[in-house]
Amino acid sequence: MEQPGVLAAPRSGSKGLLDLFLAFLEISLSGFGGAINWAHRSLVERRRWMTDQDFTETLSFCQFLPGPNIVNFSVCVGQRAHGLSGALSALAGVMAIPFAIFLAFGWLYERYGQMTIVHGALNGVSAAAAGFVIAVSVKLAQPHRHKFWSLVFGTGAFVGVGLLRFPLIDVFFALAIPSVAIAWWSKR
Amino acid sequence: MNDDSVLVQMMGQFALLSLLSIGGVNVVLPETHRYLVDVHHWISEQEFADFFAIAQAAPGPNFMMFALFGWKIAGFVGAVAATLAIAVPPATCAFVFGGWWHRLRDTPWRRAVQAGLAPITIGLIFSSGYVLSIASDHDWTTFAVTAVTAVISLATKINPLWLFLIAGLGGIVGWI
Repeated sequence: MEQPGVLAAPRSGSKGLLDLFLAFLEISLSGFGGAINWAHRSLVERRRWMTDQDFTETLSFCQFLPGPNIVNFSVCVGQRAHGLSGALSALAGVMAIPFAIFLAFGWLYERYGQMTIVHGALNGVSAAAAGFVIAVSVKLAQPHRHKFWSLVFGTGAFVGVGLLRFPLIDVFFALAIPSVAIAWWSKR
Repeated sequence: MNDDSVLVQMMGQFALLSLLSIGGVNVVLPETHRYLVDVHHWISEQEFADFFAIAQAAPGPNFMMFALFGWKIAGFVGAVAATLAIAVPPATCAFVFGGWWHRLRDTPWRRAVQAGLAPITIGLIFSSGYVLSIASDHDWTTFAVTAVTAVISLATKINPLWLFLIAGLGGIVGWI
């Protein structure tokens, strides 16, 4: 155990390229149901590379950027430690081994996917996963449910992309421009 | 259509999707489905649902399901190409903007963009759930699994993996 006072000051010693690779490998492999929760445990609580505030700020930036959050997060943390080579090491940790695991699953699927047992298991999991994704969106919508324009643009996105299956890029720009404009004017 | 042109087309589309996925890859799943299943018929409805299920259950980040899409379309090279296409453009953005974001974080335009995009992101994630449930729910039992999982996830803080495990076991013994 380290002294409590050390908690506030992140250690900088053990943050070589290999450490970055291994830390993000661990995070991405244990990232069931959201790698980001594990990132907090691994980087803030255990390794003490970042403070809580640092973590939250970096995360909110990464959620604002496009792409998988864990990819953006690994690049930001790696870059701050070691520039380009740090970013690449952390990103390799997120991607390399999980890629091999997913390919193995793909191979197993091709070989055994038609077996009744495998087929049944996948049917069950995909039905449950659909419910989980719906629940996530409903939870995220809670703080917005009394805002008129949020309801308009949120429903618009669902009708355009979910129900009518219009191309995302058309729907996105048709909604994003007025939505951001209204957010801009209503804040002034 | 020869293999190379399929590969290039797929990479271009995935790279474009990666830059639209503000809020994570779940935002672009309906578009991925439209592109792969409806427009090009490269992947069947069943495979799309199955790959999503594998991505949820396998150790590794969920965006790796794009590796499975690429693998199905063009084998090993396709898997590598798809994974790079979905990850490299956002990683480049993070690298380029990560350096000076501290200066931007309190600017009013950033807050307006964030507030304006939030409801669209939520509507798109809901669309993903909807598209996945259309792909996965063939009968009233699977529909019930979707509904019950949604309600339990909303009402409790249970780790979703337990729900996936139970649903998977239900499928194995033939209840689902």
